Amino acid sequence: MTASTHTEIYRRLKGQLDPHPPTARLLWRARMHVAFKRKLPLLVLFVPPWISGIVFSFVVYSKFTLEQGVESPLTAGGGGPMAGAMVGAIAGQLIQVHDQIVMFTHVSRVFALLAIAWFGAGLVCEDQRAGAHLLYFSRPVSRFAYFGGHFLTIASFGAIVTVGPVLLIGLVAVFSSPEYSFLFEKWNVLLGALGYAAINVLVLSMIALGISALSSRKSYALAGVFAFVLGSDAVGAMMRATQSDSDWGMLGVMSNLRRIAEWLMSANRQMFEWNPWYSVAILGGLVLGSGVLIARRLRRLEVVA
Amino acid sequence: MSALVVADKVGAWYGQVVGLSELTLEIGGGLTGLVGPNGAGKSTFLKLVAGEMKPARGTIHVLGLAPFANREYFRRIGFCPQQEAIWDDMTGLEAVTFLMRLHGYDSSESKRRANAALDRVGLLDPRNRRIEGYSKGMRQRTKLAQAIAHDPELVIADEPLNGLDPVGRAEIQALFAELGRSGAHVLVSSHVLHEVEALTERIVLFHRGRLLAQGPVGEVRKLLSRHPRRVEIRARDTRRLATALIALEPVQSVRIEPGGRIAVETGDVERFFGELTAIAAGGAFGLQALESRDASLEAVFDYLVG
Amino acid sequence: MLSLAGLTKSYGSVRALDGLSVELAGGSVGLLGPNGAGKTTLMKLLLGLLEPDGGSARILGLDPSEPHGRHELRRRVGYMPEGDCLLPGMNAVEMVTTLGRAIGLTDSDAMTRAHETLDYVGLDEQRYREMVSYSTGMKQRVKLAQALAHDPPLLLLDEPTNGLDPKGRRHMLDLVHDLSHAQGKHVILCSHQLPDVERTCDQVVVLARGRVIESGTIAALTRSEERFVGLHVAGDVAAFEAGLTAHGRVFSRSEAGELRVATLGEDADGLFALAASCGARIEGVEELRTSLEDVFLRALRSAEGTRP
Repeated sequence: MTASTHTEIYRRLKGQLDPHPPTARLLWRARMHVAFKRKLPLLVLFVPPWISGIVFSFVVYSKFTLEQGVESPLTAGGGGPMAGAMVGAIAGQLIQVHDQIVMFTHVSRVFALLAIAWFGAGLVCEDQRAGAHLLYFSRPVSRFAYFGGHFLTIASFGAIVTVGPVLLIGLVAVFSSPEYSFLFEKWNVLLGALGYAAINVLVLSMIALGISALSSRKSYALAGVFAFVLGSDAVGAMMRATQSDSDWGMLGVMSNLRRIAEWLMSANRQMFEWNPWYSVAILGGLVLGSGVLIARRLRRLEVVA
Repeated sequence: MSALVVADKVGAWYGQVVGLSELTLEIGGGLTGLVGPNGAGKSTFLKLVAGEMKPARGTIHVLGLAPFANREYFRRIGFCPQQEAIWDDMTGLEAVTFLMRLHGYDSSESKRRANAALDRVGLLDPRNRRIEGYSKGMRQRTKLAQAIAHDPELVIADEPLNGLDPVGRAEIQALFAELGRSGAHVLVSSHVLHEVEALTERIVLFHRGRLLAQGPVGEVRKLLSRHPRRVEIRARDTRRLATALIALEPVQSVRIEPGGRIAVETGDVERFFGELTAIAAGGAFGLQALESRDASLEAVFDYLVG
Repeated sequence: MLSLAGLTKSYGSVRALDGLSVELAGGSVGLLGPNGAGKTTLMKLLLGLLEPDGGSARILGLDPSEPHGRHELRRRVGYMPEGDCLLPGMNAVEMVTTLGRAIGLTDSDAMTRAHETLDYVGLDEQRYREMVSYSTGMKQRVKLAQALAHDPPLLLLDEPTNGLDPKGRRHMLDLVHDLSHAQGKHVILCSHQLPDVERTCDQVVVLARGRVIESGTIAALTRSEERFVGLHVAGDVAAFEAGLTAHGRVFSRSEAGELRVATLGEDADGLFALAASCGARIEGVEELRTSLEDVFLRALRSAEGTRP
């Protein structure tokens, strides 16, 4: 063995640098990692939507199997006048399940707001307070990647509390319905529910990021998100009551989301009647506005600060 | 003349965190620098001297008075705190004028003094701009202006050179020197040793809430007999001089450093210099430089704080 | 390493850089200048964050005015920003790994480098604690570690000693010195503390109003201009001064008691002989150099003078 010493205090990097690292994904990973460090908020924000998701799934399941159980001997007979009644019964069950899913999306909207506000409000402003933007932007992290990483983070949390439970309920509905009839008869509802969940997450995430970009600290941003979203709905509700014209609901972010939900899932009982494209336009404007705000803020953070 | 600051067994805590623990100390007049590592108790001490805080135990007297919540005392001192506690929505002139009004001057006198003080700190031009838009250095100057505007007998400044660029620092250092010459007493803290060294010889060194040393740096250095003094010599005839040096009795070690300098350690620096002068007189060693490396504030600080 | 010619950059009506030209071969460079001199803009440019309005720039052979050059620059520069910077909610290891990955290190390289650089800057077990509880000194160390994660050839250090107490300051300066002198990094150090620059850098560039008003090696800029030495004399000083006069040597006495004596082009042996003969002892002989601070302030004054 040859004697050697290795007392150098600084060692060179021996590996290679990836010329185009997937910075958005890396940022997202790091952010998720940090968010999953604190268990209490996760518990508080994730458990209720999943419990309600499970409860709704159970209701859906029982709608099919319990009522089906009672009548199963008849179905075995097949044909005859009873068959017509059966089809009617199943159609009724499908409609009831459809209503359940719509109802769940109304509930999940609140969960999404809570989760997105909590995990999203701090992202940009806390970075700025801590000086993290200086560290990111001195690396090959583009503003777009920075935004992407943060949007993915916030959207992931939104998805966990909306898309996840919706998928669960949908799957239960499909597999417990006779002959997967729910999938064949009501596939548009399933798609609508998923599409709506995505829109819900997109709109609320952009609003939260936009307000975060405007604020100086997380608590302000958090208050700002709630004030903006719930405030707009409060004003809408007030105008609706005083003017007795339900179209005033268009002032509220949540009401617009509700309108879109009912439209996408062709809900049976609709609370609002205005043209859903108005809601799309309003929310689209909000998303765009937030996007512009975020873009301007990030430009400042990268170049000026 | 009695001492400027007399602290007797002063203790101060923030909850469980010790600010100062049983500090007994006297500081004479003139310009004194407070040094110490972060969290050593400099700021706590200055707050006590400024009467912003009451000692949890012991007593402190400044200018013969007890500082805490003492209006008469406040008129005689000026305090420049470390925090940027200045109203953002006022202009520099308004802020200083307002503080002068609080000292009891009428409005025209307040304004005159504010203008004069802002001029002294080099803030005359931007005095009518809102403090919100001031740089860190300008805020420092504003704080300093309000501390000197009423011609106090004692100016207390906590880290006043923080955030200044070299030009600003040179100006403010000159201002402190001038204050000292004009007969005011000045207490200045800083954690940048060469800043303090440029201001004054007389230092008070805090460490862990206790007084570690005080006095002129050179005198303090002499007390540290545990550490032999290091002297560096540069000469043309290095080897021959080194040989001659090792023969001198006060010399403890002689080393030739990589650059060709001779580093000598000695226990009795005065005697060493005497004997060096004697051997150099006839030795023709080609002596070029002679420096005692560790008589500086930084060296003293290192030996004491470790 | 760095070659800038006639560089200009304006923000609206404010000219941040106004025909800045400088050539640097590399090594350790102190970037000095009063607030608002254009240092920050220059840093942004060196980081590939800004595109100059006019003039040409080559940094490490790369051109920041084209996208590829800007992108490459950011990968070859390690930047230690001024003030507190951290990634919220992370400990030091996570922060350095995350930032290392963002610059293109593989996961395992990022982890290795995080620990190696944290070892290098001297952050021990605390690296597993969340950074909100860190002292200023610890935060500064992590900031340096993250700048080193990808082993860049050029380091930009913005006020690395800010807020440090004497011990932390010396540690940081030792690291900076080691990086430039032993590890072969190009270092550009921005600092308001001229003694820090004097201690760690070989060259300086002084900026004012977006221009270079002085540049060169510190040794050349602060070289002794006159043939005088500073003497610290103790013992019978009066006799020594009388002796100087008797020998016809020109001298003056500073406020601090230092004697400025003409050397007449000789070594100091004669002065020692004189001191020995009149019962004085010499306690210090130093070349009188202009300090970097003098150089800096003089350059600023002459720059002020050339403009209305």
